[in-house]
Amino acid sequence: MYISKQPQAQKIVTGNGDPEKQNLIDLLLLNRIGHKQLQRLQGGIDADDLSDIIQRIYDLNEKYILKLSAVDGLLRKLNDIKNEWRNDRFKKEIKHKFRDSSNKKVILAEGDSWFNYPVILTDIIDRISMDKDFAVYSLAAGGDWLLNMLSARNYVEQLSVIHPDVFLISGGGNDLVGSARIAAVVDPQGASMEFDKCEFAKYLIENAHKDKVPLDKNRFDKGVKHLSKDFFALLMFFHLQYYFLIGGILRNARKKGDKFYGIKIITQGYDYVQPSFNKSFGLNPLLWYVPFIRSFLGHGTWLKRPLQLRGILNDDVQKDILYAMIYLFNEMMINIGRLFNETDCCHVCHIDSRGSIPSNGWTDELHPRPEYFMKTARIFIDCIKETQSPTYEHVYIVNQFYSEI
Amino acid sequence: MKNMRTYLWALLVIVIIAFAIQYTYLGIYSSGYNFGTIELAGTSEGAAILQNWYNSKVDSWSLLDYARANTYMDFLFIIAYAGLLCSISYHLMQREKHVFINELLRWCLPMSLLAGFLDFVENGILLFDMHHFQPGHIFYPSMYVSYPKWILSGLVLFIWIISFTARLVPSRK
Repeated sequence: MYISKQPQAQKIVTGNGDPEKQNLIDLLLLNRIGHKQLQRLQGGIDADDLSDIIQRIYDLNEKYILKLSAVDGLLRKLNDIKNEWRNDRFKKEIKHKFRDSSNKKVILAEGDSWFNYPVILTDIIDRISMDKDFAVYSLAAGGDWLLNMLSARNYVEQLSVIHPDVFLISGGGNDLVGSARIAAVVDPQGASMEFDKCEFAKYLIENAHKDKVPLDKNRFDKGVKHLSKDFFALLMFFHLQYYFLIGGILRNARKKGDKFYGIKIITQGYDYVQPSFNKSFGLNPLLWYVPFIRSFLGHGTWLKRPLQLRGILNDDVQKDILYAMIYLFNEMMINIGRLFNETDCCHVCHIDSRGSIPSNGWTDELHPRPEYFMKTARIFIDCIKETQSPTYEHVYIVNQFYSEI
Repeated sequence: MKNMRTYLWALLVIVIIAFAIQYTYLGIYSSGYNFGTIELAGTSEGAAILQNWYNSKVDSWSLLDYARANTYMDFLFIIAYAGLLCSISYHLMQREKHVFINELLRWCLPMSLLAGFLDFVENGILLFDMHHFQPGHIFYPSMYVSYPKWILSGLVLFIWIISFTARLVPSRK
């Protein structure tokens, strides 16, 4: 399957070197692109353009970026082991005529550590897989970058082979925080005006359903003042990547007889991650894994250390920066779903985790404790089975379901 | 890795068969103390057991020599059972929807490893006692690590039973 253009989008270019497209990309990288211009660019974006943009955001060549984003070593082995177990189970279920019943759903999952946390934790896909009505094929890998998922295109191959009823995707977190990249997209002075110059980000905030997910204006304003133009370029890059990915699937899902007709795509948005070095040793023996994971699996190196490296030392300021980033990231994802649902009715849903995890509910800086992964997963299950209505439009806000866990 | 549990089961069965053969062979010359009794024995009882084994001969070997061989073989048994406790706990955990029981099953992972570790220590102490055995010599009991080992292994099995029982209760979301 070749994925390059999007449904219902204005195609403005036909190849590389197009001066208008180059101009739009330049404007995006400078964070001076208008919202309408971004819409025009998304219509003509292709894999080469995405590669070009990321090289310029990161100031690195493509080969090095792919090396940087590659999941290697022990983490890769652990990812593979978990996926092997999951996919063996998938094959067993299919073997037992799983697809005979219309209530049963075949699911393809692509994503990062929220979908495949190596071994110790029960993550979102683990919990979804427990449901007898689902057979889940997983490509997810802890530490994986959205960039890597798009360039490896494993999901493209599996979409064609498996023909899933549901496609789950979680990505972007590692592109932002992997290899200490977060240090490169913050402004330590706290005097950045880049948010005001980013029409797209302003549009997202203006159109956010603040009655559903309240916006703490004070924290947000403090946070965005520390975000450089590269963060907003990255945010728009995520938008283009997701548009490219989802558009490529839905292009083949519009009418009966199309390859992926009836497919549902569910995106995942993170909660406000917590920069911290705290090892969290405590007396509760059931939480033995928290200090273990915090001691050995990178805790503090994704957020806290890179921010300190840039001279951002105040805990509250660090949290405000992450608050602003995650708020915008979720709104960007919601906007993506909205764009597609306007033209391809109700194909895309978003699970919004903002505010669903209490401050003591984190395993480490980036990952909740299993009970909160499981809580989020229950919303995924409800969304897939349609046993609950969305909180609004196509968005399920985790915090508004299941007060008890 | 995919077939890890199969290999562990195979190892467990092989070691159990080897133990069974050894016990059957030595059974006719039973000393009254099987090899398992020494791990929970106190200072005086342990010394008496070693003395008894030292004095009992089978085919020109003392029972003490057989006990030492049995203890070496027990290391393989530890790898098999601790690995299986871990592996089965993990797979039960990844099928357990109930949050608290899911956490309990996660707790089984370090408990299983700790039980295996304590068993290693226990075997080390027993080998030391056997190696340095002299009539009237002091016996260092392994019971202080053996009891916690049995308690931990028992807890793991108890949590499995809770998980299985809870699965029988209908209408769990």
